Amino acid sequence: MQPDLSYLDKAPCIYISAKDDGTIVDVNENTCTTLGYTKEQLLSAKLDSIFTLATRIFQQTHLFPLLKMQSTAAELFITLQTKGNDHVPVLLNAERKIINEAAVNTYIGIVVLNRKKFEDELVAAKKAAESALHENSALIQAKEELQAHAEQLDQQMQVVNKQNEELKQFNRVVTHDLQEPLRKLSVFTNMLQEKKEGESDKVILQKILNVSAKMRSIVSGLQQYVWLTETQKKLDEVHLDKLLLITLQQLKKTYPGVDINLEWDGLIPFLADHEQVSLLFYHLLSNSIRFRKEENKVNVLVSNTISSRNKFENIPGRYFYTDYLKLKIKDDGMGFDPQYSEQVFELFKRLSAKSGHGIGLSLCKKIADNHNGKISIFSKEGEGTTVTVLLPLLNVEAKKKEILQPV
Amino acid sequence: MVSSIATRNNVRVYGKGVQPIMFAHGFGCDQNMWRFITPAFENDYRIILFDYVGAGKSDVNAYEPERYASLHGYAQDVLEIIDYLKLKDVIFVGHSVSSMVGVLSAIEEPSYFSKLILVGPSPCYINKDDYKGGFEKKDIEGLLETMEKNYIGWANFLAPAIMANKERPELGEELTESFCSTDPVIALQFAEATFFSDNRDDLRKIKIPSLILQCSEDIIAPVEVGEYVHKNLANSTLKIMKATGHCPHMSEPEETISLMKEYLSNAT
Repeated sequence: MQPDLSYLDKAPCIYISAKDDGTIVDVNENTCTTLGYTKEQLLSAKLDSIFTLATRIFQQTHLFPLLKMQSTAAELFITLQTKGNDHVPVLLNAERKIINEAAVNTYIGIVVLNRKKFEDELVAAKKAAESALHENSALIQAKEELQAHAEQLDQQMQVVNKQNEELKQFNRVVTHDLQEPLRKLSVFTNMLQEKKEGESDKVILQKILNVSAKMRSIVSGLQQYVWLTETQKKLDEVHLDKLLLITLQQLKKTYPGVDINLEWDGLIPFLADHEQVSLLFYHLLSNSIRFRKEENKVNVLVSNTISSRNKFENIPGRYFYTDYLKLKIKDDGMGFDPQYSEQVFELFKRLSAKSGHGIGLSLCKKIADNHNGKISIFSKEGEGTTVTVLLPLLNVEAKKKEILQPV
Repeated sequence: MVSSIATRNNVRVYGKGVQPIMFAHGFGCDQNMWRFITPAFENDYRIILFDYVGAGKSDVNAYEPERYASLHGYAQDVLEIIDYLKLKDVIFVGHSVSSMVGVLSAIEEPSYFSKLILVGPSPCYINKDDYKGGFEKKDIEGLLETMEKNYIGWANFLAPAIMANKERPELGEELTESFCSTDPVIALQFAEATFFSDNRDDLRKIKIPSLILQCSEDIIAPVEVGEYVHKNLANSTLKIMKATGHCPHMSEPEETISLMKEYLSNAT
């Protein structure tokens, strides 16, 4: 039996009843008046004819599926279209019932002209807030990108500065250090040609050999330097204690008769190129041995700490703190005048005739650079030398820290 | 945290058969809309149901605005689900916008699919030059406004969109309790991705056989659009249904099932 809905006819609301295919089967007076149709015109018309296009899409994608699946839908905002094509905003509740084996969808709504105005304002305000927030997050993102770029730029500047410095040094080596023996070679050759009196051929030839040997050692130093520049570093977990033992064995063979007392404490494993680190310690320790104060003995202490440093070196006002491993190699040798503590790292800079060819510390600096690290030297005549190597701490350290945490 | 594909897309797999058949819901609702269709395929097929990220009971936190700004992001959902389930030769059933999502997916990974069943497909909703998609741009803008109004009562609608997901994920969960309710911001973006899409050129890239189920009197995908799809999709079969509206799988499930079965039995 059909329920008696006659009271709805006079009710101050939108009331429409329709079949699943959208055919209107009942409608009240208020709805007809609002839309400007007669009841006869609306009965058997399709819902689509009183829906705006947007509402028709909404009906297909949301309203109908909702009713079909849940039999009820509440507080839906739709827009009706009048006979004169005016738009009427309506807040709608709907219900679907099976009556006499046929589905009937009942829609009850109220016209919300004023509410729509408020909502429009609300939506506008929300959009403004959203776009402000969006701009803000865009700014934050831009800031992060800028930070990344700045870090990149800083690193690139560092690389460029170093390369510049290296080029200068190379220039000096090629123009001066190699020119000099070449000049001597031609002098001696001339002497041989002109056969000056008092100079025997043998002496001149010996001088030519000496000069050639010097040139060869300069070239081989350059080769090592170029090797360090061109070879990609491989990161391994470096255990310094093991590495130091091996280096010590090598040095004992090179300097027999010298008592090398090498000590270390609490060395932390770190990620670095094992071969390069070996080379670094080989050169540092051989310096300690060669410039020892006592006749047959030298004491060297290797220690390490973790320090936090600003990653930015070239851009003023920028800060990003990151962890470095600080290695100290301290000896009790003869030391040198602190005014040379920068120059000793320059290629082929020698402070004394006793030193080699001035390549060792340049290679050490190169190795530190290769690891984005730093090397510095502190010395005083008669009081020994301390070399400090800073290497950025890579993840192995973090892992190590975790392991060391009490469980 | 990244959820597994199964959780992310609320993937459900069941059925007594071997041949996989995947049902993809359209814009507005979720996998539940297939509930009148799937029982008819349970015995002979392996059924795959899912919700797109942002719809139904999917993981709203997995929603990435940049990814889902176009239908390609949704196609990636489909491909990732198939890849996750290690399926091949899937029969893909897509309703409405999912038809084009299926087309895009099949272009990307043809071997994943054996057949496409497109329910109310439209490669382009907006009229362009000689092409009649059925809508003008302003109609779509009107729809977006209607949708926006429908979400106004929702608590998180008033919170700026970007905050809503990040800081109050629990709101997303509340919203998915009700069928057809999606996070409003996501729904709006889905509407834009859907109704502003133009995949007409993609139709010609499809070689696998397809069935087009075209409703009569469908304002969202009119008959002319169905005919356009048929003309441009090689190896396609067009069936004009008695069903009206845009959701024949809900309004006329029997007709939908019989046309699907007829096509599948003839084709194999």
